[in-house]
Amino acid sequence: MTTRLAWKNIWRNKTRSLIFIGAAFCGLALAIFTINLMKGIAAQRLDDAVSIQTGHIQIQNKDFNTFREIDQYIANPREVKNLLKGQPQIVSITERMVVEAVLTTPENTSIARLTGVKPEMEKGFSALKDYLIAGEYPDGDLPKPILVSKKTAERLKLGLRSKVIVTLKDASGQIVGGAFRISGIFETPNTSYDGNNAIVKYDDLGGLSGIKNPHAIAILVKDRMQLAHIKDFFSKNLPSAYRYYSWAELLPGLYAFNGFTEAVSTLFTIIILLGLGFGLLNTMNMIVQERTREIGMLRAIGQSKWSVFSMLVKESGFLMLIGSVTGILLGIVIVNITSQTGVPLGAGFAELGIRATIYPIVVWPMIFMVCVLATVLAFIISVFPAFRALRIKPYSALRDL
Amino acid sequence: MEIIEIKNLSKTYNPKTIPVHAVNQVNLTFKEGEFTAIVGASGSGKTTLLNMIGGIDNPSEGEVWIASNNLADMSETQKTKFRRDHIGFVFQSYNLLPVLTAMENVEFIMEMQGRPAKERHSRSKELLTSIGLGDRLHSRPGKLSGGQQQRVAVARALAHKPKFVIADEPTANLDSKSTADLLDIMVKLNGQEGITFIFSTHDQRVVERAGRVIVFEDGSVKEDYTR
Repeated sequence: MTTRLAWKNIWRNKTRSLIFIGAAFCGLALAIFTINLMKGIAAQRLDDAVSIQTGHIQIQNKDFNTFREIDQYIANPREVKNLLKGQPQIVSITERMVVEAVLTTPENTSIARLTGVKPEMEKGFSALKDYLIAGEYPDGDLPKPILVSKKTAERLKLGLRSKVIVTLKDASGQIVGGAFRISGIFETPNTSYDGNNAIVKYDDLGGLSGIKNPHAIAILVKDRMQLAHIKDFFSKNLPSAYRYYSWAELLPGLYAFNGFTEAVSTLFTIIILLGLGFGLLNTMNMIVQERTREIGMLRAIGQSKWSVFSMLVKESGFLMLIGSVTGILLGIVIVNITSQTGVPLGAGFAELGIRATIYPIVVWPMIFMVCVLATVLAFIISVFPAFRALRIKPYSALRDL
Repeated sequence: MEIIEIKNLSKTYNPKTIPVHAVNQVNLTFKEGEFTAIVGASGSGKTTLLNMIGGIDNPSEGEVWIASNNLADMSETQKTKFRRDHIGFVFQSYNLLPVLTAMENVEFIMEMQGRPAKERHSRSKELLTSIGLGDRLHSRPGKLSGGQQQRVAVARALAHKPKFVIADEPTANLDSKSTADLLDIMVKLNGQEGITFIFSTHDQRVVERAGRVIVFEDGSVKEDYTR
């Protein structure tokens, strides 16, 4: 009975109810879109960083990540690779040599992190090939090929096949140099990465630096949500000379950024829900104020306090439910459409590694959380005016107000 | 047979500051099937008396006994249930639920009591037809005149077959024709259903139709006579 009455009551003042429902509809659609857009940005940055830079995991010499010395390499890469063989979660691995270097041309000088790669191992691993805007990956016939970013190429005034001198400190501590030729130019969504990185062949870098072993074995896994289990495995089985690093440890800035986007979208949702909460509180207070005589009448003719309370809570619930369910559904539809078409953000965020077009991701746990929060909020908010209604005396119905 | 007994009933507002004695040491009894008008000027205490008889206001002193039940012994919850099951209310401003049809309004208390839908429908149809609203069963109060709304309110008060009906100035907002029609209906239902009616009024036309008249003045019974 109270359910039917509550449903009918919300349509007594259609304009007021529709204003609230409209606010909830727009607010929650926007919240769902924003949450999933932010998630899309975070996932895109992570995917790019993992596929271009680090992989999901790296095994390194235990000191390399801290000191970056050229002789802090993996002494026995075979031992590590044997360990990885039995792991079903691992999709692909690659060995990399990483050396800080200076690139010099007659025009300019640039500091770069030089990564020596094995092109045949990078095939199933690195997505850098997808970002080539000129030339080819350093796996062709060109002797001593080097891949630089568009940013570096412009700074050093380099074109395809141009010569660049690479200078670095070798394993014996001597400064050595060698000439490389530009085999390709890349441009990733992350301008910060582009400004500081260049790619050469593993053997060429080894020849120049005097080392043969990799500094890192990078690993891609099937499901990054399983990283904790994989970390457990490595912490038990990895020799003490090496250390396991997850992407979050290798890219602390990205990890912090992802946490930040999650916090911002949660905060944004809470602000929207709080705004809706105050709107609902105001609406329900007006309802109780306007219906003092009617509530008094209901109490006089025998409706229990609990029944009046329940009726008002249901009215509040219906208002929030209609607005939130339709808003959330619209949000999901928008996210689904834009996850195909993409959301154009422009190139202004490239310094943060954000692509010009973002594809939002449907994150069901977050959507579920918004639904739960909206329901809980509707209940909490409705309790105050409902308690106020309980204080209305039945005889107020007999007075001509 | 006596259905209501009022013993030394008093109601004082603001007892600690400026006391106002709305009802003062009233003793009354009402018999089953009586059609009683409580008459008096505004502020004479009629409504306060009705509130206390109906168990929606508590007396400062004295007791109200209804069918051997002392209202003072009941908790608020028990009184609410007692009102629902045994008392019918008709208000000056009709107080129908605007979102429900005439039939749904009449059925409302029966629905609260948990009576089956079939019984509710037949009782509300029967009552509304008997008061001349058989063709307005599905009209909402907003589509009915004041007189029609008050007739629906009377049907609502009687639908669950209460022990008695309290009506506070039921004709105050009605024109002469509607007042006459409503009184005809109330007298008719009083006869048919044998339900006790107690209503406050200062409308002479209502007083003329009452079987018993209680004249109230300054919170006390000044006159009490039966025709």
